[in-house]
Amino acid sequence: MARILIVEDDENIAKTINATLSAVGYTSEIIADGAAAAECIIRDASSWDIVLLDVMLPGMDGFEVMRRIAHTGVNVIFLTAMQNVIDKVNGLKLGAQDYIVKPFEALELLARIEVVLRRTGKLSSTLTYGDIRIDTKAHTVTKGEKAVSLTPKEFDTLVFLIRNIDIAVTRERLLGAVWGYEFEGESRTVDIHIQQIRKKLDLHGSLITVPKLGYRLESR
Amino acid sequence: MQLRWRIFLVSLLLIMLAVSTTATVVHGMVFSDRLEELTDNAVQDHANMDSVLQNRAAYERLSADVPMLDSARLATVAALAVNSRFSARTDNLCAAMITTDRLTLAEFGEDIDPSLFADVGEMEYGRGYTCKYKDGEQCRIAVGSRIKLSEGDLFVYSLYNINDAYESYSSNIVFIWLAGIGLSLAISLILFIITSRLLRPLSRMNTTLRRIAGGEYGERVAENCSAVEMREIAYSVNSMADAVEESIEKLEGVAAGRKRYVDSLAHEMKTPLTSILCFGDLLRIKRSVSDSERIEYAGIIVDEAKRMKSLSSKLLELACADSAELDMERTSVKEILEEAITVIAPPLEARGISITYSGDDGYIICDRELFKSLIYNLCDNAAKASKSGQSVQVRSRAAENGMVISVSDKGIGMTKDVLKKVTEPFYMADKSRSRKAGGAGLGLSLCVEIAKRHRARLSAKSRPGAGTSIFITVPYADENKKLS
Repeated sequence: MARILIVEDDENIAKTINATLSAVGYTSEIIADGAAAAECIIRDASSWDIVLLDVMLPGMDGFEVMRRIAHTGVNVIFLTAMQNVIDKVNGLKLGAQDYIVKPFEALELLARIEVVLRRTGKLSSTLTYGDIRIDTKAHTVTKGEKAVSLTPKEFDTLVFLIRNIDIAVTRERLLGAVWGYEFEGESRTVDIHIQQIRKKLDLHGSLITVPKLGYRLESR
Repeated sequence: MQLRWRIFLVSLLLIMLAVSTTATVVHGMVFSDRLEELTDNAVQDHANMDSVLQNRAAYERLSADVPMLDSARLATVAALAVNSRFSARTDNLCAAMITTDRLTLAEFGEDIDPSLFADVGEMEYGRGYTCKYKDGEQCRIAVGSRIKLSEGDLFVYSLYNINDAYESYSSNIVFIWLAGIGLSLAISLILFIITSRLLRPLSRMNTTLRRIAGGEYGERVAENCSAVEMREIAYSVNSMADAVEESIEKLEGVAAGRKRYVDSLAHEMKTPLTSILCFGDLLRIKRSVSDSERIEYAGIIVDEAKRMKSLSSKLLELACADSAELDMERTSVKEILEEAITVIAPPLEARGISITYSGDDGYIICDRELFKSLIYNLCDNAAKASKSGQSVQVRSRAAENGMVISVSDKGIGMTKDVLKKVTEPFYMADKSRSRKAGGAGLGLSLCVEIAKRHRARLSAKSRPGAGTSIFITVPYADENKKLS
């Protein structure tokens, strides 16, 4: 799984992120000081898949750290309390992959990380869940030895659920991740796709409905 | 119109007027002198003819030995006299005529109109009467006189040409006007060049001023102009630019300070919110949460919520200190300090920090609650900088300009750089430590605000490792009755 470096001076936020990341199986490390983080990244950039970089750091701020580590080509997502456009543009101009504004929800952080990992090709293209095998490149799903045909949206929903295994996913989050943020469909659409996935892959016991929240694919 | 052009045109007109008027007047005077001279000459010349005529007539009477010449003889005498004038080639003489009151005896040259001297009968004997006239292009002086002979009265007329004088007068006047115009042009041109030169610093100044107006507040006008007035203007402009630059810098400082404040506020509010939201979310979406995880997550949520609470109450206090109506009353310093210490001592003692008070008493005017809050904040800061077992001292001293209250600790102290920034909102000398102690970074900003409302002055002394002392100087109640 991906290795993620958390550069955040606030102890509780760092703990929060760490707990969130470990929930889906990422491994992470925390550095509280900007200068130390820059040094650590420059020393061995390849050991990190993503750096979550706070902008307001004691000593050296996040933008400065970014400037120092830009040449290593490491993927950076900025975390910041400032949400004005100029700061955002500055961060992205320096070469950051994304920009998350505090306060954020756990699932949002995970989704953003996943997008960056997928974009930079650091996500494995084959996923397995029990006897189900998914190839995200070839867009095929096999259960046991038999190929199962899924519509593109069903496929994306399944991949999203497997990547967020054991985590309850709200219908809104699914709509956002699979149908896109602009999609103005009803959460009913999600329910129909989930029923289809359950039926086609026989996931009645493990793809459960969490009341008042959404769905969760539970590991076996 | 540009100033130099205006000066040029006005001076051109005025000089032209002055030169031409003067020249014309002077020339006119010279010309009239000349005319007078010509007239005198003409009268003189005419008188000569008169005497020639008289002599001739006398001579003829003697040689013919008659008492009176007959009219034929008289005509011969007259012709002789006229011819003698013309043979003498008198300058300018262009006609002569001698008549009796009835007939012309002799004439030569141009016609002479005797009616020029209409009142011939009134003429005195032997005196020349002159008259000037212009007939087309021809200018003449006519001279007439009356001579008494035994044969009767004779009238003698002569005409003098003064064309030359008039011609030279008119040609001179044209020359004078042309010269006047030329001279005026030359003088105005020189003036134009001089004013252009004098005004050059002005246009340079204008360029600089435009640049200053365009936002380059550091620009300055050169003060090395030759004219004193220009130097003075340049000096004034530069003083103005200094003032503008200073105000702009101040404004920029205020704007930067406000941005820092908002950024810090956002950071301070969103950091605890992030933890709360994330851990809450995790608790909600995870399939299974172990007991230890639940305790850790919930613990952090409670901690962070407390931090939000402390931050929001501090912000509220700050807003109140800034704007609330104060309830000012005359208060004993000793009394209010002892009251404040009674409240703050137990929580400090729980952290192992003792607090002592000693000093003079005096009366100040203050809002009791707000002033106590100031003391709480300072004692709290002092305690946060101290280790368990150390003590915080509160002292009061009656000084010349007011009561000086000091809060001192023997804790970690601060460097000069840190000391400069401590009153900035959200500034924390040691972030992680102050957060653990429940700080929001607003305590000293609040103290400054409260002190301001009491017209008190805050100052600090600190040395890393040796502790910090904060001094509040509050004016005495009896000298400051205005505070109410």
